[in-house]
Amino acid sequence: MSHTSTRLSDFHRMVSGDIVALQYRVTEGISGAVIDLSAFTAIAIKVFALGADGRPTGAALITDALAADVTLVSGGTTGLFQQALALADTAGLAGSYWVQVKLTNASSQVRTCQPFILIIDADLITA
Amino acid sequence: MNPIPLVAQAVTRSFTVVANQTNTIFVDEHYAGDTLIIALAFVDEAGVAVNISTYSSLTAGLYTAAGVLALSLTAALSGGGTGGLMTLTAAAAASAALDGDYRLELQVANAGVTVKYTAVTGIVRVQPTY
Repeated sequence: MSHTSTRLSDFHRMVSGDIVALQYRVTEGISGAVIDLSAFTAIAIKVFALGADGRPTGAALITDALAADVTLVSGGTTGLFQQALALADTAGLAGSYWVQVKLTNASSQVRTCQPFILIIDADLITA
Repeated sequence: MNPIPLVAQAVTRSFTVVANQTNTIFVDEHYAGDTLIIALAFVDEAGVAVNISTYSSLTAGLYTAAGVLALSLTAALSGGGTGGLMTLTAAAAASAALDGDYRLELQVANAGVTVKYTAVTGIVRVQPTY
């Protein structure tokens, strides 16, 4: 059996300071089947600045978790959840950021998703 | 906005290994601190499940390139081993400090040590988490 290597080929964009809900869909690495999140007990999202080596640096700039700003969509049975971003979450951010998502199921088993890069464009309309 | 696709590797990685031989496996994309279960199905050369219930000493670990033990794995027979099944488990958080490639080794023996061999060697590739 084989597993894919970690990749950071997926990039997603948003504009700084926007009040948006980023929606995620999580699937199994081998089969591609959606993961039923309905019984998961924790979903933790952390956003980090990128260091010169392309790795995260410093403390997380954004930290969100289930029951706070992270909510399951349609009960999570189709692998969907969303992260509500407030104006202040990204108002001071611009550039590329590393996003890490960690899932914990009802058996307390932890799985970290492949990280991805979130590109935040500085907004031009600031007043 | 379309959902951002996230991919999560399975907690359980399954391998078929031939009994009484040294088998090599590769576990890639294990994230530091995640739960990892390596499920082994012991078979004979013909692919038939082998009864491994007499394997009473099971020792498994992840080692650095220099041979230093980095993490002990919990090895256990499944269903008493009569169906040839064994699991090697790293509990959540156990691998939190690991980063890079680690050498995996599983050694098995029976009670009288008339059977003793390295059943599995290989690599577990650990991606750091933050």
